[in-house]
Amino acid sequence: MLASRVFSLVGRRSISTSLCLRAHGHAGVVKAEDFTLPGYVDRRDVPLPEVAFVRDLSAQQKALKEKEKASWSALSVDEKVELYRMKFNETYAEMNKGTNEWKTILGGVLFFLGLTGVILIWQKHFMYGAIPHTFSEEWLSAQTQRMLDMRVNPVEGISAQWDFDKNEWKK
Amino acid sequence: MRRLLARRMKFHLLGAFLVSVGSATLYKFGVAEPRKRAYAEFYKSYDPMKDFQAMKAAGVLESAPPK
Repeated sequence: MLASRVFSLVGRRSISTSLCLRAHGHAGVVKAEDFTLPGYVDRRDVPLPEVAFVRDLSAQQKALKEKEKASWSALSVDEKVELYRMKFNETYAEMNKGTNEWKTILGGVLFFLGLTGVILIWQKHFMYGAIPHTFSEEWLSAQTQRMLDMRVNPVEGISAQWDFDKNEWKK
Repeated sequence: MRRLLARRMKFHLLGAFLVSVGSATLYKFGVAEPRKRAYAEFYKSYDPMKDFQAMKAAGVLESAPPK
């Protein structure tokens, strides 16, 4: 019941225009119920779609279809191409052709990363308070000295980089 | 369009095999072997008592204070 209320609000005109919008590019208008019937798709893994591409044939195309029932060697190259285009929309080459979409995507990603960076810089400058005192130079050097005294990670880590005899970092 | 899946599958099977074997080899000779050598080197000339005395002298051991 709510749907019919919406219908009267929106008006009949806009419903029919939305149906008309679907009728571009192809021969024949696509109505809502057509989506319940087998349809044509351009897909790499569907080499033979359920229906031919062109649905409503002109008189010329119908004559060509009749000619197709005879021997195919009687068809010219142009006629064969016309028959192909009646059956299929894009060739495999056209279908598989790459686009330049990746440039847009990459640009968008980098743009938003940059925007995030700007936000973070603004936050650090205007919003956050001071960092803890344990990050000061004196504290960090005392902390590192204590780690070396304890021989933290002596095989591959920090104590392996320190020369205990000369009391300096290894070169 | 012939053998569409077979071609793709061959390509990807070979690629997957090479990538996995390659990354395993790289890890073994880039990470695992150097690490094993580092540990062997370290423990060749490691004197635990000397290490203990050094740590004790530095004052980091609560139950073994420096004299």
